[in-house]
Amino acid sequence: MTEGSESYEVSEVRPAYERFMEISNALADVQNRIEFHIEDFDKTDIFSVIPELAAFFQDLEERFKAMQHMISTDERFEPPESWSFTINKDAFAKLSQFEKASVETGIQNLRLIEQYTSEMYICIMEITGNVKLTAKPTPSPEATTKDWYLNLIPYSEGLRGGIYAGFAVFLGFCIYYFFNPIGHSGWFQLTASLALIIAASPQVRIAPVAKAIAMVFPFYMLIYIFILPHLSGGLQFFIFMFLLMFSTRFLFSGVVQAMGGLALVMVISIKNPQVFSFVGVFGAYVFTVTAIYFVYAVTYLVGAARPEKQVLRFTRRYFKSAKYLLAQLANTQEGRELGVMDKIRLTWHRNQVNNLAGRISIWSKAIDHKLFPNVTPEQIGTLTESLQLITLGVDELFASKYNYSESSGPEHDLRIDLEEWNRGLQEVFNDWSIAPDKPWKEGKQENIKTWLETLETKMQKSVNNIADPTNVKLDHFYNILVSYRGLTSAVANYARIVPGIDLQSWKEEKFS
Amino acid sequence: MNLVHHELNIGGVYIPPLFLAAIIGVIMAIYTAKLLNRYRLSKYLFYPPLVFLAIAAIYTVLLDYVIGIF
Repeated sequence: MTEGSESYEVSEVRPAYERFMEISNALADVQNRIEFHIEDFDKTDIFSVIPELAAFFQDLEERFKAMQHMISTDERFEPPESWSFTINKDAFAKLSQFEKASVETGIQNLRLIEQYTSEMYICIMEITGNVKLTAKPTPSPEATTKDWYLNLIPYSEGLRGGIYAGFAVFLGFCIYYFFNPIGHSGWFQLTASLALIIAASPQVRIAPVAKAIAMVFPFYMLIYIFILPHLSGGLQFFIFMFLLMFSTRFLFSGVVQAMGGLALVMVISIKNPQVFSFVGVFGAYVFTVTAIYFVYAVTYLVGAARPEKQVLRFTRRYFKSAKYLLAQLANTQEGRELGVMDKIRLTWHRNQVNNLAGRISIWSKAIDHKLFPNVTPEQIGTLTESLQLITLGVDELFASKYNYSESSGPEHDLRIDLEEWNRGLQEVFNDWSIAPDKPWKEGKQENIKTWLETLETKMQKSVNNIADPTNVKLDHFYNILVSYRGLTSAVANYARIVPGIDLQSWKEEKFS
Repeated sequence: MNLVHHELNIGGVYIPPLFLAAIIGVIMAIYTAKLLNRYRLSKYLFYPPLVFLAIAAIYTVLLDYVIGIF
């Protein structure tokens, strides 16, 4: 919401709206996590392990209905009652260690859903004026522990966009200063505006825009030169303008329509008294088209016109960052403290992993499939989805904040097992950071399955050896176990998808 | 032979011959790039965008020279 654009009533409850947005995002994250692990419950009768689950789902549905009702009718409702999930111990005891881990993590996610929906409910009560909140919402743990300088770390694509925009403006200024062609100071003014737009969304294809404006501009120029001077009086002019605008919207579509509207406004400039100048309008045409093509040329030179290369570059960088994060995770599990530089690097790589999957998805939509007929948009869609799953897995692994310092005993054995698991994933991430289509475990799903089963058996033994099964640390262990398992299945999913995609054709150099 | 270029006068707007040569040069470079793509010769290039710029520049200089002759 833009500051100052809202009414007084909205402005009064602005914090509640903002909080609602934060909670909605957090709720979406938890939903994603639950979806991520949904396969873990395939063999578990979850309703018998958590008896209140069915009633909780019912209550959730009622909460959402009540929220909808509150917004549409302003009716008053009581705040929802909180839930505590109990486990049926007999049913739980029959589960394997991994199933127990999944149930424990599932309950934590359910508690979060319960908490977030309650907070959403109260937010809506506040927005509709049913209750006045006095207590400030508790900030997320990450927000309170994050050092101030970590907020200053730039996002790599933002940095790149800034450098590109600066470079384009500099070149535009050089053209104005050394040659001073038609358009004069417009050479750095228009270049700056266009370059900033492109810096914000570098995947936008400029060539069709430039082509459209080059084609429609002469059409309006002809009208400007041959028809407009013959019109007398406002009425004729207004009727003609209406017909012109109507035909632009009716005859053209897409980019040509948008550029047609723009060209119409630029060419038929209304002045009082009205003068017609061919020199002015032709000069504007030459300058506008040349300036747009100039910005396109700069974009082309920096490689933005080759989205397939960007997707490959981002994928390599994604796995490089994912590998760094896993290595860092292994270090923290050894109890090593992080220095300032480590924290900066860690934040940089976490930002990369969190943002790159989305960027890859955006860039992949700009790929010209006529140039690469062997790679379908559906294949790219599944590839980006699998990367998003890996992001969820890495994110969850970090959220589990596992740290064991025991030097002997079953807990130490568990740590050794986890490190082996971590190393296995690091190796494959390293391979993919060089060649994103390299087969994992010789490209055989059975090899991946065997590797995973061996690790799981070893870990199961180590967990069974822990003397006190009610140990609080066991909960953390369960978290990390589920996270590693989820991440591994996401990695296996990528390994299954990627050999079917002809990424080799993207690597081949081509003019775009 | 007169090699001093004359600007093109289009309704009072003076267009330098180099500009015209650049437009035709870029169009010719586009078709050259298409041919190189079609026969898969572009795979031998290190960075096609730079090569495209170089081809366009060569065509522009050659065309400017030809325009100068006529």
